[in-house]
Amino acid sequence: MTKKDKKPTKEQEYLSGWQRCQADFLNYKKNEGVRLKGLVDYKIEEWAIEILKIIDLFERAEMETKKTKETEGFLHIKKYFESFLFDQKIEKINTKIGDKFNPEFEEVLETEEGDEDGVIIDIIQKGYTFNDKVIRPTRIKVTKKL
Amino acid sequence: MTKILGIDLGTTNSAMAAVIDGEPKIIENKEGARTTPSVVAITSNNERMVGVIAKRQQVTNPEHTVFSVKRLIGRKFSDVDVQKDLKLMPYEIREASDGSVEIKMGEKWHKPLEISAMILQKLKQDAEDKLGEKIDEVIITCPAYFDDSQRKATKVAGEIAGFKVKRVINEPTAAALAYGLTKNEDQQIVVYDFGGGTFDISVLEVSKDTVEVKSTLGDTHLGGDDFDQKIIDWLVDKFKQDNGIDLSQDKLALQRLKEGGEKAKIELSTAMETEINLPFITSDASGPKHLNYKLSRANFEEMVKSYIDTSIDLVKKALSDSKIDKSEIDEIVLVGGQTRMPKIQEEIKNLIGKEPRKDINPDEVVAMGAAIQGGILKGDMKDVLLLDVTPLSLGIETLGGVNTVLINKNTTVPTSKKQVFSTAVENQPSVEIKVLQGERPMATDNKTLGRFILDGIPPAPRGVPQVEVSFEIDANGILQVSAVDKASNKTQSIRIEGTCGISDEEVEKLKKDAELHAEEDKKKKELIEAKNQADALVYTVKRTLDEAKDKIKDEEKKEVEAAAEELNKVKNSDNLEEIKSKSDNLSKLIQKIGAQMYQDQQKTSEPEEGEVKEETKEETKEGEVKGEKKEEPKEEDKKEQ
Repeated sequence: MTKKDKKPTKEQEYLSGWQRCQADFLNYKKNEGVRLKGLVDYKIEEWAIEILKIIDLFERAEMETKKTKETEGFLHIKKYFESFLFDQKIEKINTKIGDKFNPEFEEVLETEEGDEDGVIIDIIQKGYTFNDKVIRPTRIKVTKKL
Repeated sequence: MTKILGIDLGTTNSAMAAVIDGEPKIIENKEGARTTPSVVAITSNNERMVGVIAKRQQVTNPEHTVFSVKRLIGRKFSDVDVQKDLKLMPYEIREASDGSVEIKMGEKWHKPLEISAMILQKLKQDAEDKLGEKIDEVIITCPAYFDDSQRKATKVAGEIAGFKVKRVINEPTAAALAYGLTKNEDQQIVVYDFGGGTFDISVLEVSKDTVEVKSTLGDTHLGGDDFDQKIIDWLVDKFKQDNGIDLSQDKLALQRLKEGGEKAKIELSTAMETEINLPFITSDASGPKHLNYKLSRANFEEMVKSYIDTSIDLVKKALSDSKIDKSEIDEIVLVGGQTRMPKIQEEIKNLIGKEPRKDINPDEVVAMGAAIQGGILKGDMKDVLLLDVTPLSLGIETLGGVNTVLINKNTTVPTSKKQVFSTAVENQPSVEIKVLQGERPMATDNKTLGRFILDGIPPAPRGVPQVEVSFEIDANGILQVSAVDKASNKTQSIRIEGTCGISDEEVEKLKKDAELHAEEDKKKKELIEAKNQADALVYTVKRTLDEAKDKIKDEEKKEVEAAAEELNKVKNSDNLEEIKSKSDNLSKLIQKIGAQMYQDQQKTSEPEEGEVKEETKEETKEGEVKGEKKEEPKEEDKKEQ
């Protein structure tokens, strides 16, 4: 005995259409959320890179000038910037002199003759990450065996 | 349904896109960037790196870091362009036994297409990770001027990377597709593409099912990077004049000048003047020196005038080659980041008298177009389904060194054509069939794809013998040329498969190597993850033991400490199995202690309900593991707060 296909009623058709519409909307909402987060993160990254340049300048100034009461005040401003970035989950890459160069986090700007390849001998510019993404690699000088 | 990936395989950078929910979207790479540097390297440890990672180590490993491989793909070593590039590339290039190019990277010599395959393989893996699904099919773009062997090489590169290459389409065509310009027939489009390292101009004509490239020209060594360099040179000169110090010798200063120059260039696209402010750029005996110069848009335009003029001259020439009057041009499409410069937009607008299309990100428009073509093939989108066409005309050399075309360029494949030729001298016993590819009227100016001799023609006055030459291109673009003497029925033929200098067997072998490499990558990833987890676990265990030292029995503590020590010993090795088993062991021991501590605590604080007690226990366990992952690996993973 065969069972005849039952034609869906109008109600069923509308209900299924409404359910599909709801599902589409939920998916859209989810995707939009991801997209918006991406946009916000992208913006944070963009301005964080600019603020990092300001911190770089403070560091350069710190190296080049004698420490006085006045300069100390400026270094507090630097700290203010640093803690602000820290709150935004911008983290410093922990590159150490003497470590082996890791291109995942570091970029070589200069080399100097050495006994082995790729040992970090100078940190030229500090690197940072945001949400585990390298937004600026640490720029370094490494040894190169000739 | 799986997606077709669209890849813009660029000279300096590559980008990928796919149609997602009916719209083309750029897919970010593993590093979170929308474009990937087209750079591949092999380190002294024989480790392969692709993209930004390869670029970061370029300074320390220039001999084994290959960039701009697109300039070499599918070309002969003797090619004039290859000879020019030889002098510019820091890596070793030689002529292969078949006359093609080989590049030394690590200990091995590679064909350029193998290097391109490595870039494509990285993009494939990243796209699969990002989208969470397997991607097997791809559309790859190439410049409109690429000949058959360069296209074939691009296709083979895709195949080695593990893709089924659905189409290799022209970059300008992809850009036109992204703007939806191919929907209307009989449109004439100018695509002005100013990339990082190359400039291309193409004139397209859209007709039913095909987009014909009417003309294409370019400068393979002119790009946006030259514009940046002009600003850097200007800053270095000016600073030298004012302070007597040469900044080009100071790597950090140069890096800052590069960033500052690029920023100024971008700012001048919207502002009339910008300030390049680089305090503490250097120092001498008198103390620190600061760089602070103003650059106006007019000044900058003056600096790069010759570049813009060159590009505009090429547009004029391309238009004249295409025999299309500028008044007949319907659309202008801008591609490449440099086209954001207002002066460029103004010049091209003044020349053609139309506002150029620039609303899609010019760095991404080609990849978007490739994705759209993929979408059309899958039926996700409606537009022109581009048919495969012969990019250049095919013919033979005839009397007086003339190129007699049998199959015109842009003919859709498969196709075939026959034509009867005769002898040029009395009693000529044989004819030489020289197969040519190209648009130039004289045979010597075109590329010779192959040759063969048909002999045994019975003696006869010139012009009497009838030699029928037939050209046949199958759906895979393979050309078969044959010649038959109608009197004797003697036949000779040649089979020409876009000579990218690599046999099918080699392709198969390389495909297997690539798969193997992907497998290795997977294992490497697994190992790194296991190491990170082991690091985190050891840290958490240490913390737990410290925090709860009074609540743990001595022998239990000792047992956990011993297990932690064992893991510590192996966690920096490459033995995945051992790291995993030691981690499991430590994890079990610490969980046991955790559970014991909760039980002890609950005994003292009298829980209300059994069920709730169980749940809390589970949740906390989960929380611990999450905590480990979130906090500690970052520090161990080279980050500090």
